[in-house]
This record gives sequence, C-alpha cells and structure tokens, in this order.
Amino acid sequence: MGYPHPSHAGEHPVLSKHFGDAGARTFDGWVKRGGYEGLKKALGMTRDQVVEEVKASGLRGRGGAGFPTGMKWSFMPKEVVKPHYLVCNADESEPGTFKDREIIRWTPHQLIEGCAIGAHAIGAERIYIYIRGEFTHEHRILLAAVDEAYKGGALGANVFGSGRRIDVVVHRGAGAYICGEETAMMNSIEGKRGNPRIKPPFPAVAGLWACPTTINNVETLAAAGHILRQGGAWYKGLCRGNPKSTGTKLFSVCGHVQRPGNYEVVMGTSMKELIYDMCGGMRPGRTLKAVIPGGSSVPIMTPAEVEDCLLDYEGVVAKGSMLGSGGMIVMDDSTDLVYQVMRLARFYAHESCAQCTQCREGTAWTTRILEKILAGKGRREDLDLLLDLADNMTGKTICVLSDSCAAPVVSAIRKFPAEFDAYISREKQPVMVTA
Amino acid sequence: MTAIHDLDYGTPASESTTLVTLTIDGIPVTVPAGTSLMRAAQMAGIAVPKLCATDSLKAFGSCRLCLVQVEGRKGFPASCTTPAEQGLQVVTQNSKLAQLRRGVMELYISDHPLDCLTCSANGDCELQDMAGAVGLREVRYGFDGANHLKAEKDTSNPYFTFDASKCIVCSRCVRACEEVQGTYALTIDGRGFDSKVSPGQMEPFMASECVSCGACVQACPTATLMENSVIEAGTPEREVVTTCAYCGVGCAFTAELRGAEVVRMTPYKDGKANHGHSCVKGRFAWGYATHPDRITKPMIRKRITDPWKEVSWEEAIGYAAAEFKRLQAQYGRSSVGAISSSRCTNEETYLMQKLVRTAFGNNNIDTCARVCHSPTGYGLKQTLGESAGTQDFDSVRHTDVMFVIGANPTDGHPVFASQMKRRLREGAKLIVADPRQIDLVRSPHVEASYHLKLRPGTNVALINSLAHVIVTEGLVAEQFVAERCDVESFRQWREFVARAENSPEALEDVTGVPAAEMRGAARLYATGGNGAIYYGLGVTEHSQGSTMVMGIANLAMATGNIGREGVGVNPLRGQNNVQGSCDMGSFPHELPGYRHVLEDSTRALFEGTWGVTLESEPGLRIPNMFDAALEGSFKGLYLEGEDIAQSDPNTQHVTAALEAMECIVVQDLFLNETAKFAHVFLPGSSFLEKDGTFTNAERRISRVRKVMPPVGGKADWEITVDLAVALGYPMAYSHPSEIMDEIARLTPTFTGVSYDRIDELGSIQWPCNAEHPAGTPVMHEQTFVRGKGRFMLTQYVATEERVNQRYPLILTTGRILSQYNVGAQTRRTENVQWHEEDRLEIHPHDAEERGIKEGDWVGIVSRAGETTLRARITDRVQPGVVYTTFHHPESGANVITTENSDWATNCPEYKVTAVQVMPVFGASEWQSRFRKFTEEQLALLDQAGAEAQG
Repeated sequence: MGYPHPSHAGEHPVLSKHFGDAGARTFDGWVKRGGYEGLKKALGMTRDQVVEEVKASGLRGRGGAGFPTGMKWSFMPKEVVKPHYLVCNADESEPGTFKDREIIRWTPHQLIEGCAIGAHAIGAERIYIYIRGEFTHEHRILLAAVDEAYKGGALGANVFGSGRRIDVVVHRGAGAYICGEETAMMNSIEGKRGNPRIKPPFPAVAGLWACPTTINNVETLAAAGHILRQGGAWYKGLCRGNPKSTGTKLFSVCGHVQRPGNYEVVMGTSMKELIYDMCGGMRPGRTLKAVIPGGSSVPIMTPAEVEDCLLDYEGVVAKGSMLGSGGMIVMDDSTDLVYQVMRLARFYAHESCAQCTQCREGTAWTTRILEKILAGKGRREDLDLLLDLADNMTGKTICVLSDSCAAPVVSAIRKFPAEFDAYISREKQPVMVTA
Repeated sequence: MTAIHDLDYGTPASESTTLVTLTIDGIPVTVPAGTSLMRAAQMAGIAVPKLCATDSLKAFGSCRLCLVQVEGRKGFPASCTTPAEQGLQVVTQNSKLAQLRRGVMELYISDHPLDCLTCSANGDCELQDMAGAVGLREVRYGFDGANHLKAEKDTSNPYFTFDASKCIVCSRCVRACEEVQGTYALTIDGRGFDSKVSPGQMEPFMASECVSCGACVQACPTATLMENSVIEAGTPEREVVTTCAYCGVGCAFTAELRGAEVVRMTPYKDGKANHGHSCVKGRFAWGYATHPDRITKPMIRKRITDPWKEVSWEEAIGYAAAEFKRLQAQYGRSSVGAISSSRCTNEETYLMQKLVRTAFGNNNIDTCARVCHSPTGYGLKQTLGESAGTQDFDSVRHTDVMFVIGANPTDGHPVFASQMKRRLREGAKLIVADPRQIDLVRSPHVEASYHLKLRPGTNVALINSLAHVIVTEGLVAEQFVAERCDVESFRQWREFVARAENSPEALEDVTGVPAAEMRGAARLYATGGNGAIYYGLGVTEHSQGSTMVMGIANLAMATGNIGREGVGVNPLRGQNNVQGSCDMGSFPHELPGYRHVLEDSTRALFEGTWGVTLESEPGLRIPNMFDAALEGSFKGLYLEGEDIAQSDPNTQHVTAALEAMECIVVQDLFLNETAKFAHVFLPGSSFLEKDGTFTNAERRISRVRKVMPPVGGKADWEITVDLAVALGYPMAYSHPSEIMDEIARLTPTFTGVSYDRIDELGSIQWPCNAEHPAGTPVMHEQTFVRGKGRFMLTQYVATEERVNQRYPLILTTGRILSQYNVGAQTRRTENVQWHEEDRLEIHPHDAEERGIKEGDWVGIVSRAGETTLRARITDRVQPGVVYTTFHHPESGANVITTENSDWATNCPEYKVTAVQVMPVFGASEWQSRFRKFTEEQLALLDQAGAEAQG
C-alpha cells in the first residue's frame, strides 16, 4: 500500500501489506503476521522443489530485467563444488525508484526470509545483502533484523533446525550507482573498483569470488516467502494482463501526481488507473505531458502511449518503453523535457564507471550538447549528433549504463521534437545551466 | 610500445587443447577454444582495430573499437572478449562497423591534444594508428567544453614522464601494474569523464608504491607514459635483440637505437625468461654504458702510488704480458692467476680460463661464483648429479607450493618474482624461510602461509627439522624414493633425520622458529601438490652453505618434488652469468662442463684441442690467492669485470693482499675499487658493446648482441685473445661464435649449441645435444643425471661466528631492487634516487636499547673491522639481527664481514657476522682511510688524462 497514503481499493497489497505497521519490523512481529512460514516450508523441500515452485509462480526479476527467477536459480550448479553465493541487490539507486527502501524499512524480515529461501534454493550458505550507502536508516533496521533473525533461528548454522547453514552479510555501498549493476556489485563486494565484468563467464558459473553466484533484487526475494507460503499457483493467478507477467508489482510513482508513493498492483493493471485513480492524477489545471515508467533508464512515453498501457513487462514494451524497476516519473505540461533529459544525462555522466569509451565520453558529450541546446547555442546538427552518439551508446558497451543514458534522450528527441526546436530556433529563452 | 612493432594479437593465447574452426570475413581459421575473436582474426591475418587490448593483458573490453558482428547473433560483440566457437561466422568490417568505430575515435579525439607533430609518440602511437585505421576525418563535437588538455605532467620518475593530457583511460597501465608486475601501484581514480590514472592515492609516481618496472610504460598505447630518453632523443629507428646483463633472470631485451645511440631498452615479448616484462635495472639503468666515468684508454703504471699513464693497446697488453712473464720467471709458474666474473659472457670466461691453463700454464683461475653459488654447484652435483637448477622459470606456473629460502626475489630477481606472484595470486601457497620479512611475505594479494623467521646461520637445523617431520609423519614419497634414489643413502638419511635431536621441538631454540610452524610448513611442502624450492645466497653464503644445498636436495627427493614441471630445486642466480661462468670451467679444479682437472681423459681431450700440456693439480681459489699473496708466493692477477676489493669479505685483508702483489691487471668499465690497486687498466666493454652469450639461472643460453662499438675500441674477448697472444699462446678467433663452437666441441652438455641454433630457437637450455636437440627445460625427468639420487647426511654444526657480549647482534646482508651488487653500474644511473646510500636496518627494540633514532649514524664493529652507516629502524628485521646492503663502496659492508667460509667450497659466510652497533658521530677509521685513498687514486687518474692531453 502506498504508505503514507491509505491503501487504494485498486491495489493488491502483498509485499506492502505491512508498510506503516511498525510492529511488522521485529522478528516476533513478523512471525505473528505469518512470517517465516514460507522459509520453514522451503526448508522441508529439496532445492529442486523450491525452484520448481518459484518457476510455477511465474515470478520475474523486479530489478528491471524481468528474467524468470526460478530459471535463474536453476542455472546454479546442482553439485556444490565451490561455495555458492546469493547476492541481494539492495542498492536501489535508479532515479524515481524507492520501493526496496520501503520493503527494508517496514519489513526487513520479509527480505531476510526471501533471501534465506533463495539461498536454500541455490545451495548457498552465505548471502550478501548489498545495501545502498545512502540508506543509513534502513541499514540500521536491516542489521537489527539480521541480528534478530540469527537469534530467532532463521539464520545461522542450523536454520530452524533443518541442518542448513545460512549466513547473511550486510555490505554497504559507498555511493556509486554503477554498483547496482550485478557484476559491478560483485567487484565492489570483493573490494575492487565497481566496474562491470565481462560476460561470459556468467555469475552462475563464476560470480562472487569466482564462485557460482545468483543476484536477485529485494522485491524479487521478498516475494519468495509469499510464493512458498501460498503456493506458486496462487501467485500465478495474480494476473490481469499478459500471462507471462504474474504476481504483484510495487510501483514507485513520483513527479507531478497528487499522491506520489508506492502502489502495489496486480500485473496487468492499467497505467492510467494507477496514475489517475490511485495517485489522484495531475495537479489541478495541469495535463499529462510524459511518463518515464521504469526508472530513469527507459524511453519516455507520451500521453497517447500511456492511454491504454497495461502495467506488465509486455504491456509497457508494446508502448515503446520498458517496465524496468517500476519507478514511474510522471511529468505534467509544466515540464521542460530538454532540461529533464539533460539532468538525467548528467546523472549518468556522473555515474559512468569510465570503462567503455562511449559511456565515459558519450555520457559527458550527451550532457554537454544538451546543456548547449538549453543555453540557446544549439544547432539542428546537434540533434543528429545526439542520435548518432546514442546509437553508439546503445548495445555497444559492457553494461547498459550508456544505453540508459541514451534511451530517454532518443525518445525525447523523437517523441517531443518541438521541445528541442523551441531552443534551437531561439523561440524559447535560454536556460541558465549550472553543473 | 616498441619501435619496431611486434605483431600484437590483442589477447593472450588460449591454453585449450580443443580446436575450433570459424570463419572471419570469409577466411576459415582454426584456433584453440577460448581464443578471442580478435586473436583468431589476427591469426587469420586480419587486424581488428583496438586500443585497450594487448596480448600481454587479459581482455578488458573497454575501448569498444573492436566491435564485430557475428552471423545469427544480435548486436555488436567486442571481439576481444568474445570467445571463438565452432562454426561462427564473423564480420570484422562493414559500413555499420566502420561508422561505430569512427564514432568511438571521434570521442577519443574530442579530448586529446592535436599535437601529433611535436608529440614524443609521433609515429609510435596506437591512437594515431587507429585514427588512421578507422578513417576519422572530423570531430563533430568540436573541442570546446571540459577536457583534460591542461592536466599536469608528472615528471617525478627519473626515467619516464606521465602526461595525463594524452591519456585515453584504457587502463592498460593499471592492468599491467596488476597482471604483469603485481605491484598494484596504479588505479583509476574518480568516475566518468573525470576518471584518471592514479599512482597510489593520486600521488606522484615516485611517491607511490611504483617500483619503476616499466610495465605501464610498455603497455601505454600513447605518449601518456613515455621514456624520457625517447622524449629527448626521438623515436628509435632500429633494434637489436639482446640479453640483460644484470641479474640471473636473464631477460631478453630489445635495444632500440638511433644510429649507434641507445634510445631505449624494451623487454622482448618473445624472451622466454621474461615474456616481455622487465625491472627498473634492465629497463632503465643502462646509462652507465656512456657515463663519463668510463675509462676508454688503456693505462699502465709501475706502482700504485704512481700516476696513471695512457698508452696504446699494444703497449698496455705488452706490458702486462711482460710483467706476468717476469713474475713467473722470478716466483714460479703458480705465482700468477686470474679471476673472471659472472658479469662476463660465456665466451669471455671460457677464454679467461683457457688463457690461465694454457698461457699461464697453471689452474689459478677462479670466478666470483666462488663467493656466491659455489655451494650450489657442489651440493647439487653430490645429490642430483648436475651443478644446476632443475627447472625453467615457466615451471612455476604449475607449482602449488613455493618454498623460498634465503632469497628475496622481488628485489634480487624482480621479473621472476612477478611470475611467482602471478602464480601465488592464482592460489599457490607460499612458505618463506628468511630472517627478515622480505616483501614477498606480504604484498598485494600475496601472503605467505608460513614465514619461518629463522636466526641467521641456522639453515641446516631448519632443513633437518623439516625433514624430520616428513620422515616421522609418513610424508615421504616412498615410491619415488624407491624407484629414483639410492636406497642405502636414503636409509641412512632417514635414520639420521628421524633422530629426536633433529625434531622441530629439539631445534626450535636453535632456529628460533616455533616447532608448530616448522611442522606446518613441512606438511604443506610435502602434501600441498607440486612443491618447488627457490633459494638464493641466504642458503649458500654460510659456513654450512654446501650442507644446506644438499639438505634442500634431500627434501625435494624425499617428497618426490623433482623431475617434472612445477617442482624442483631452483637456485636463483645473483648475476647474469653465474651459471655460465661455472659451466665454462672457471673454477680452479674444473675444466668446462664440471670435469675435474685430475681426470686424465678430460685433460687429454682439452690438451688435444688446445695443444698444450695441462697442469693436473687444482689451482688456487680466490681466498687462497689472497693468502698466498700475503705470504709472498702469489704476485700477479688478471681480473675481468670483478671488483674484489669491494665484493669480497674482510676488505682489509683483500686490500692488503692486493698491495702485496706486483702486477694487477684490471679489465673493467670503470676505475673500480680493485683498479685503485692495479698496475694495468684495460678498458672493458659493456654488454651493449660486444657479442656473446649469457646463461641464466634456468640454464638458458641467450645471445648478447653488439648494439654499439666498444667505447674502448676492443670487446673483452678480443683483449683476452691479445693478452694470450702476447703471453705466447696463439688464439685465433674472428668472432665469439667460434669460441662457442669450440666450447660445444669440448663439452657434452653443449654439443648442440651454436649461434645459429640459438638464433633459430631464440635461446637454449642446456643440456643441448643429440639427446635433447632443443635443450632441456626440466632436468632429471626419468633418471637423475648421476643415475640414482643420493641423499647426503646434513649434520648441523653451528658457525664459529657467534654472538657474545662484545658482539651481541648478527649482521646479515642483501641486495635491493634499484641497485646491483657493487653498484659500479647502477650507482652511475638515476637508480640512486631510490637508494642513495646503504643503511643499517635495526629492530626498534635494539635501537631503543642503544639510543639510536631513525637516520642516526651508527658504528658497526665486528671481529674483522668497523664502519659507519645511517640507521633505519624497522621491524622487518627481528630483534638481535641487523641488515644492510652493500652497493656503495664507502659503506664498507665487507670491512665487517669475516673470512669464515663454507667448509666445502670456501664460499664466504657473508650472511652471518657478529657485530655491535652503537651511535657514533663520524666516519670509521677505515672509512677515513678509504676516502683519502680514493681521493689520491682519482688524482692519479686525472693526471693520466692531463698527461695525454698535454
């Protein structure tokens, strides 16, 4: 539910059911609310059975890529020769995304339970939870919860008497967006510079410390406990759109809506319903101009594309963008889109690890050219140059950071050409751009 | 970068034995699985554009110039990071790829100074090459906005400049520092566009952990990291492949030249000892060759108090010959002799001993190996049957447990140390036995499992303890011993080491190493997989040096760690040609190939070729020469490349012996310490000025090639030939290759060696003969050279050099990375910036007790003498032990060392001297005398020059 707002009837709170309920934060409180039943059930099952249950649920990665979770788990070697690791990606740094933060803040045991289930499913004894450095409050909550989980038997050498050993190490990030990229995250945990790694080898073959590793997002793992408790079939039944997108999804809605917040809806719910019914629509007198639906790294959508868009992986793709992390940035007609994409480009320029040329130089030039346009010094050729550069930044590098920088820019130029024309033709007053 | 571009495959070779066939631009090519598409393309003759890739480093995939397309796959994979697979169809060039590559180059050039014409890398720059290769014609971004063009140059390193304005952030330098050198001094600081190469934590290179190995400079594709010599002289125009003349690693180098001037020395990629890596000495410290201190004219004088007189070669050699003849007539045939050096080529040392045995007619030839690795020769011959290390360097790639005893590879053998560290980072275990905490004990991503911090002088007690554990805990490789070794000698040895008196518990008070550590280390070596022992002068330079070498061989045999890759007994040779000078018959008792002069058949063989009758009695060893000189029976000495007045122990004894002689002929580059006592000076030639061969620590014979004419007019081998002729023994060689041909004819292990064959193979590891036509990387594979491996009993006998109230500390000595032995060369280079003086390392506890503070002058007194040094307070040494290097003559390190020596070979016990250390205010009496004498001698040298000009 969209804490601090009351839950909307259109929502289907599963993960967010206890947001705002401080009692759910403790081990006992979580147990009282049915917590750790999923883990106990999982411990009574074989690795394969847990994986099959999650496969049956249709759960897909909630970090943005949407890869089927059960299948990811099944890639891990059946025989444990080297140690296996589960890494929980809690480095939620995508602009406009703040769902994992709430999960950790209100229901840390929901995450720990899911992590333990994941560890069991992949044959791991150790979990690294990589938490964004800026989440100082959530870090404290998580540490306390891990401590409690050990005391309560949900972690440790003999989890709930099953004989399974599961340990959690909480690792804090230090303020680099790129460390949310799964291979950069592994480098970061190893104490190395947070550069993404070249694949192959894939993490399931050689990940953390060169051992088989699975990386899952907080929201993905949090769902695991519910799936184990209520069954994969139940989860799969939560579907209003494409059958390949199942369960509930948290959307972090921000920007020019009346009630920004986290909203949990069944996959396939209409985007308009979310924006207008649940979030209260635009501010009075304003109309919708654009939506970036999946965190800042995806193409911008026009109001026409929003019109009949369904919120699931396929539905948003059908409208020219991506579901991504579910961080929805809503912009009304007061928004200067050129300025907005410049700010996004500047973010990516700042966060580039600098390994790939197109990213190191390309994000910087993208920003500089947009700044130049805003300053009233743009030329038509600059748009061609931006598009040409964006082409070189898309699908040509080790990770997708440069793609993420390019996507909003390309979509803005293509879908909102008038915004750029206004600056280039000097119709619009130049904007002072400060770094 | 190198002047003459080697083919760069972009990524390292795959070691897979599975082959896959794919087509690249329609050309089928078959490569080992795991080969990158980039490398496969180059193998098919197609050069895919690249900047961040070079085949000495793992693929990094950052420049994105090498993108290709693969039929049936979406996107544009980087060819450097995409492995070849069966049946792939790869396209490396089409209009889309060309457009993408131009786009990438455009980004590079948008932040790069366009000063190609005045750039030091002009014509030798991969960025420039790639701009051409991708057809970059414009930069649409313009050149306004943020850039790095004003980045400051870092000129702190004396040998290279870091010009950050030219950096393309390809990380090749960072990766080279990590992967090739293993120092981890470099990183990328910052993020995004602001990323920059950072030595240490954004420090100047000289303030960082950088060891100036040159790997980063070698890897840099632009002028960002550039040798100062190239900045000054311009790009080289030709190159000659040769072999480094510093340590026993024997790195292959490319001397890059303009005219006859060396512009830079770059490590040779195909060098089998170094695989394209180098250290600060070989890479940069070659400027001594043209240093103004070089003596370029022959000189003579009657007495050492006379001024030097420059004379012609004929006169100098005629005078020397006449003097030797006079001395032999007056004092007997044995009154003269010669000392050769491990700095010299094989051909030179061969000629030296030949001159002594033929023209002098005695066996008074010795070599500096006497004072370093003579116990290795003796000990390994007794046990294994051959006086040489058992492995090639690459063997370490298969080692699971490295046992380093009395060696400091990161300082003494840095290029091999990098290879060791690479293997250690891959997970091999390390045991170090050393009184001092050498860098290898703990360095980036390397940590010893055991550091056995023994007391100096207790090596044999330590090795016996380890053997005791192996024998009593059932860790003996019984099958290997039964099949390969002499059973009776093993039985005796087993009974001996199993005695309670040899247990770690019984000996821990002697060695100072806790018994549990010795037990742990022994178990690890015996059971940890392939165990390889690497040792240095910390083993040999002891009164029981030979015993320890045999103890090491015993341990290797007992655990079956010999005769295959990854194991073995490996002496790390201190100098470039220690192995070779020993091979060449430089010892007074042995003819080339380690054959005793007492053997009639051996003498007959040489007599047949040399046309003389050979003396059958072994000649004088170096210390015997000194004693004989002081007795008055030894009067004349011919030295080539050896500075005994600085390098031999008990300096005052040595100089007294020198003063007692009537004709000392020094053949050297500089007026070294010994030359100050000389009567004839013959200007020698550096390794850059002559042809020949060096044999490194792995028995690898490599060519030394002349890159410039001898500064003094003659190569050393020519001088020796002339002297022999003047003495009445004709030698007719027109080239050193003819000398090698003679060696090959007379030496069974060299039968297959010739300059042509070396050129063909690159280098050859002896034995090279009909049985091993391409040489022998690993020895003793099927049987030991002596047949069955022989175990030798190694009773520990404490050295006579003991601490007492008067001399309560033990001094031990060693080398440092930047300086080389007596320092005659490295002190005449910018390497002094790293080590301008020798210092005494002392433990804080011992310093505190004596009121010594960091940098204080301290007097060091032993039974032999006294000197002063400044103190460095460090816990690298243990309490009770002090340590110094010996690179500066005025330090007088050998004024303190004594004449104690190895019982078998007389190798001096440099590593153990009982001393007292106290704060002092001035130089020692010896140092005062030394300074005065040096001043006088330099004045006498000045007069030579003045007279010649006048």
